[in-house]
Amino acid sequence: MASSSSNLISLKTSDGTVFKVERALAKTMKTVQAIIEEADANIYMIPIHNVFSHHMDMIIDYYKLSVAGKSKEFSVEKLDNDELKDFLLAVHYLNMEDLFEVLTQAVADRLEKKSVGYVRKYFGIENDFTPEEYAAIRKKNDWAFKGDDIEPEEDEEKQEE
Amino acid sequence: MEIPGNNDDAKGTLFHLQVTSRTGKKVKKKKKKKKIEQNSDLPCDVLDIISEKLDLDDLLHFSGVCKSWRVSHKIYWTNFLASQAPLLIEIWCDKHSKPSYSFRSLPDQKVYWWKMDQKCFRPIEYFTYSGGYFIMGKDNNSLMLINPFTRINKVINTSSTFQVNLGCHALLAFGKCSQEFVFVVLGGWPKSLHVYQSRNCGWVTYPTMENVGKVIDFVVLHNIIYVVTDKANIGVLSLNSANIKFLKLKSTPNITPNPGFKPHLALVNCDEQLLLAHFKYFEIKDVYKIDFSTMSYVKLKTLGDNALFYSWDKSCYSLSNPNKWGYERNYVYVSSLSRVEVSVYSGDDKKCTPFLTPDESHSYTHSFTLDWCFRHVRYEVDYSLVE
Repeated sequence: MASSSSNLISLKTSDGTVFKVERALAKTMKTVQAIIEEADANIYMIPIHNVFSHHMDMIIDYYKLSVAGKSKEFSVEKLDNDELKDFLLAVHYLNMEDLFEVLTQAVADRLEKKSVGYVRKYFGIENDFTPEEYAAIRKKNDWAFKGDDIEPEEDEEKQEE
Repeated sequence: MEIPGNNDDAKGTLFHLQVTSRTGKKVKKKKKKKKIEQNSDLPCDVLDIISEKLDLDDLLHFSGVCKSWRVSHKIYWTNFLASQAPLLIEIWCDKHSKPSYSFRSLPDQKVYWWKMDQKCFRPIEYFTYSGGYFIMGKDNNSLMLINPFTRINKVINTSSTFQVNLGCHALLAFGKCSQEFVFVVLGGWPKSLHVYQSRNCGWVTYPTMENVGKVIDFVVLHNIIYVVTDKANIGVLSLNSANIKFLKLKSTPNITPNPGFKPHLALVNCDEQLLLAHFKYFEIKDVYKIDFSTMSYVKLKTLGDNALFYSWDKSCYSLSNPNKWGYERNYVYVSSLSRVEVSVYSGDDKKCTPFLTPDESHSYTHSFTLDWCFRHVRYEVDYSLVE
């Protein structure tokens, strides 16, 4: 292990804020760890693109909770769908296994039993099926679409351009 | 690899061949950069991981979101269905007698839920799982075959032949290189052997010969359907006549029935070898290999690098290299009504220990059934091989 002058690593988010984090926390970010290991000399400041300071705040919250054994208390409920998506992308970029697992599960939970139209809106996906193709898929999965909990889609399809 | 469609044609040849990789290797997906841009937000690998956390119903549903989701959905399903890891099917009823179905992977406790729409299919009783399909009873006069993963289903009427309300044991096999299928059922009262062949669109009842015993189990080996009787006689099921050609084997084990209980014998296809497993309630007694070169039964001292999975009164499967999937070699896993009993096969140390009790959070008060699901097992028969 290379000796370093301090146990804190400086991370600069894309909005220009510098966070001094413990080496142990930086280690959970595989992307950052790779940058540290590749650097010949002790790197002064590591820029983390795609990560904003509000993401770092949540990451530090999660880290503190998991060190105290309370990782289950971490919640992303207050985030709306887009904020959760952005956060997931940031954590994905940083390659943080545990937190990534928590966030993908959170997204899956929010998608549970939602309609296809809802999912498209959530991910900003365009429906690239022709009406015939889509009708064929619906027919094939007909049973799945008849479930009690799944929202009717006819209205949403008419609203989409 | 197409997921088959649900086309019902008059002849009854409903099932399209579902081609899956038999090696169980993961199909490498191509990362399509173009598609990522189209989706604009999450990369493919992230979508994959989210998919893994979704319920079976949602997964199937979301294949209609867009073309690239449909592609990754197909890849996910191909890998899922090719997996050799056994799943435990749990069927339980809540206080309103509404059944729920789930598939549980024991080593990692991962559960896949399936909420079958009761409005479409009712009333229904689960009998067994074979060849990729749930075999269930619909009313007293028909059997329904339903693939829980693709939702393809077919109803076969049995009213002219036998009643299904008293329980059935069954095996589903597909014609090699064809879309035909053979459906072997032990059902009715008194329990008899009935076979439905899609190429004939009809049932044939196979007569019982008292001296050789009543057929109690069946398995497919080398594209041939073998049956075993309660007297441990093994025969080949003919598909062109209501006939079973029994093998003349030496050293046939002497199976003494417990008074009041039929002996639990099960045929197993273990790595393309034919085994006969003898169970006493939930414990394994002995396992024999049928040696075709000497035409004799050989009692096995050990299961070697295999594990057996048995569901009481249903089928018995073997898993080779069980450690890879989180199970133990030379062990036998028996699912009873409410739990899985585990015992080691060889030696005198055949102690039984309960392995799993169902999740206590289920407030089930009614029937609870367990069965094994081997996703990658798909039986094929060759019509030309039997008279």
